[in-house]
Amino acid sequence: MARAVTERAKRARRQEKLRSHNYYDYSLLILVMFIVAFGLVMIYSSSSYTAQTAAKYNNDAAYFLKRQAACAVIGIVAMLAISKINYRLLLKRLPIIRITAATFMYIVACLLQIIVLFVGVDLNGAKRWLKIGPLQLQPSEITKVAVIIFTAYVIYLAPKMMDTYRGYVKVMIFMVIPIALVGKENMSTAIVLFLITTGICFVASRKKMFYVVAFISGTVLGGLYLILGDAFRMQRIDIWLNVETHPYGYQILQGLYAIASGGLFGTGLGESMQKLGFIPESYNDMIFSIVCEELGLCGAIIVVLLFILLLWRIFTIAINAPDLYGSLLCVGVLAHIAVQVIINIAVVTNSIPSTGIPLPFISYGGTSVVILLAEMGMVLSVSNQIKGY
Amino acid sequence: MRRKRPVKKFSLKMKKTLIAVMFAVVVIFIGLLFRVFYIIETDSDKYTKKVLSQQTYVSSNLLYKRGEIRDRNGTVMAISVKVYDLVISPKTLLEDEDNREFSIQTLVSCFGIDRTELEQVINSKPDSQYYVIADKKGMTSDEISSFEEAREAAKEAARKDDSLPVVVGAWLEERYARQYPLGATACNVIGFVDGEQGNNGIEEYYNSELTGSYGREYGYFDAELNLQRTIMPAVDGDNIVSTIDANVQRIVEKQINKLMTDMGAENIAVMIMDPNNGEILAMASDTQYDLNNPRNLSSMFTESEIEKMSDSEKATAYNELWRTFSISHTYEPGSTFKPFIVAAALDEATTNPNTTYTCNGKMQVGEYEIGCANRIVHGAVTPKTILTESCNLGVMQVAAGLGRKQFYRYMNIYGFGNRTGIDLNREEKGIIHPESELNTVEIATSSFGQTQNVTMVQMLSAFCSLINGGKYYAPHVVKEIINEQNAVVKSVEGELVKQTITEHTSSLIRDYLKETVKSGTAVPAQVPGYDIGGKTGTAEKHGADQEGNYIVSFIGFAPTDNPQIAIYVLIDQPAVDDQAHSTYATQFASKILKKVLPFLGVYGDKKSTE
Repeated sequence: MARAVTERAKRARRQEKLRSHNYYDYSLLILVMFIVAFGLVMIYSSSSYTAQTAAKYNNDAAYFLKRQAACAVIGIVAMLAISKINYRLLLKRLPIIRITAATFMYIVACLLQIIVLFVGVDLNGAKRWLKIGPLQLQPSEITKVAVIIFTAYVIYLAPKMMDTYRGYVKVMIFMVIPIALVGKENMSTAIVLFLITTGICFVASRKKMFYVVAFISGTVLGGLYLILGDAFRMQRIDIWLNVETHPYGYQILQGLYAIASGGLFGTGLGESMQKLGFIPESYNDMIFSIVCEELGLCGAIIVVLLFILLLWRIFTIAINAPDLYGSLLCVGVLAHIAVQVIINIAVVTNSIPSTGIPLPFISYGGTSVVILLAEMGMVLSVSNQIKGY
Repeated sequence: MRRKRPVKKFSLKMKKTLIAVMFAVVVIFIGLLFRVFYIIETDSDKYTKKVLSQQTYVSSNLLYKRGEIRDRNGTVMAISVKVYDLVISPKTLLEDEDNREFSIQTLVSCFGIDRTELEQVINSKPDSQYYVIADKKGMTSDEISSFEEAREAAKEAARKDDSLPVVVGAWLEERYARQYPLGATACNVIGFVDGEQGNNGIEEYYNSELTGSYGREYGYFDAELNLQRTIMPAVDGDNIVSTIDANVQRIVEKQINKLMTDMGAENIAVMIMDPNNGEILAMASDTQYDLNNPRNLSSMFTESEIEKMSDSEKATAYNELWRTFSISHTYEPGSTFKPFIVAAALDEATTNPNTTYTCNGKMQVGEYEIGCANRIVHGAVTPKTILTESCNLGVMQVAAGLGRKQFYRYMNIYGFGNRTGIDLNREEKGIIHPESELNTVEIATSSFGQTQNVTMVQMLSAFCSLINGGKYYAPHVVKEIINEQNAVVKSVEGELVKQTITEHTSSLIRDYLKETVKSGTAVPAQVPGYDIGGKTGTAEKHGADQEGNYIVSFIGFAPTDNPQIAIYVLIDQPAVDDQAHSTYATQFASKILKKVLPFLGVYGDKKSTE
């Protein structure tokens, strides 16, 4: 009899333990892994020809695959590690310097952007790379995380303030520094940073009218800037409108050929014709066109569906997060991925003027994939703080 | 205890906004998918045309040259030559009235095309933009030079004066054509090419080495949107040096064809090999075809027969025509097999040079009575006289002494029942008795080369090891692979596969076979001035309607003290009344050796001229 009682007590304790056990979003984890793996397959498919035929890539068909896979492994380890650290540590003051970790990240990102302007590696005429020993990294990618963390932090400190336009102005006063620093060398990433910040503010604010007004006036101003601004940007508009006849529409036009030739089911994995030298650096920003060519409209639908599922998981975590800061972090990551996917696919399909934004997780780019995975780690960390039911 | 501050929460209003944002994102995603669908729907037709135009405009394929095949002395046996096809665009010619007359005039005068025929073509295909003139395919650079000059001159003149006409709607396309300067010589070894795929021979087996890769010229735009032109040069295929000696091959083929007309036979085939490294110097049969025209069946059928043939019948006929007899025909070898058994028994010491056996002309084996050839009674025989007199009963007793296990082991050592791995496709394995079925009768019949099937290449490769000190070299037809810079990519040295018998046994066999040609059954194989060794074979053919049909053969080597070449001659069903005489083969071998030996730098020995 006494024995049965202790058994029951034990079971109750075990159930209690299970109930209080923190939640962890495994479906998000698996989804991310799957997208990264899919990206590796597509990078191998689209880059092997280029790599094989160029001596500077050692004529090694797997040159790009190996490098991306190495970065993906680093990223996944980072993601798993970060997901087990409580994200609230970002709000804690660091020892000695007495500032919060979020502010520290912001300062570091700004400093890196300044450093890259002076000692950056010149690639294609823009200083975007920082070389540390054998490592090469793009500080603008680090800035993306810093902006998410710091914007969410500023709003978290005074959420009420966001209900007037002052809140947005206050956030932008902080953000204008990194955005301008990035924008000097890389306009498209600056646009992404701006949209992330604005996205977080928009969600946090109760008054939406201001954003509508700002959006309209911004569009008008932007249009004026493009028309009156330098010829280089005006040319992009010209290419966009006359992609078939403009001599510089080459890359986009070749991408459109790839999409059109893919049809509903595509030419089959590895069978792309356009990657054979027609689409320059097809494993980069233009990778979606190769996906369309090889896997067809069905492949495109699956890729978009994967991103919708991914955003849906992040959305669910944002809604259920234990506090405002966790929610805002998730909103920032959500905005980051959504903005990049939209801009990338819109450029590839010539829906907007061309600008170089990679497709998250799938395009070739080491820093990008490591940072994105780190962000996913952050979201997982938020999910880990949700109390089980 | 400190009061806990209330946790700031994600408010309901924020949640609603986020739902709206999420909804908007999904809507945009779906919109983009519709955009992709729209591109596929509207542009897929246009795409085909664009791709064709970009082949010539932005990017073009650069041709590679397929590697050459040369014989061991550098004689070119297969080569790719650049040729030109004349292409016209009737549509352009009809539309461009200013230049039409001049263009047609230039074509007529430079190529000697009939004017009315050309105009007929243009008018009958008004919408065509690509029409290859059938008569003007595969022209050499000499044949096109006058047209190229006329076109350039007109272009130059028009640059100065706009009113002058230029050539439009006609151009030349270059490609490589495969040519075989030696025609049918060594056709089975060389093979031919269909498109880019080798068919038969070296062309097929070494296709990937001979094939190069296309180059590409394309333009792309860099970050500053400057057009960059990149040329990835074409890589020519590697050249291949064969072990074949074209002169020897030609002599052998000539002799085969001569014997075919003088006497006739079902098949005649000859192989010559270097016993010291497995290099095949000549390999020929009576089935020959012109490599420049491999689909010409006129050697086998009449014109009207060919017209009536279905595609599958033609395919069968082609396979027959292209077949490499020496590696894909299997047959019972006959007495040329005896040296292998004697060598094995000597090696295993189940016999020795002084052992004597008795031959009474016939012998009871199991339920069968087996007789010596022509019921000759050889009396007392030793391993040596077994070979010189070709005594069946003697070799049966030697084989019986060897026993089932050793017999089967040696079949494997010699490589019978297995492919030799020669660098040619479609090699056959032959059929030998499995160890479990090697009973007294099978051992007896196998010992003189009946009831088991072999290929010529198996026989000659194993025979080389019998006479060269026991070293089995992998037979091969390719000596070296050389790249376009003339550097050796791969050199095929004699690959020593295994030791079949001992040096000592080999020297005994050499001695026995020398005696066979000197005073035994192979006397007609003698060549004045040379020491030749060898063994004859007269094999009964089995099967329906094969009564009285024989394969006569001779397998030999020269010189006897230091073998430089090994030869195998095979005549399948000589067209004579009484086929069972190895003389046809031995005489034939003698004729070939007489012509071939000096060519191969094997010189006679004064002693034997006496």
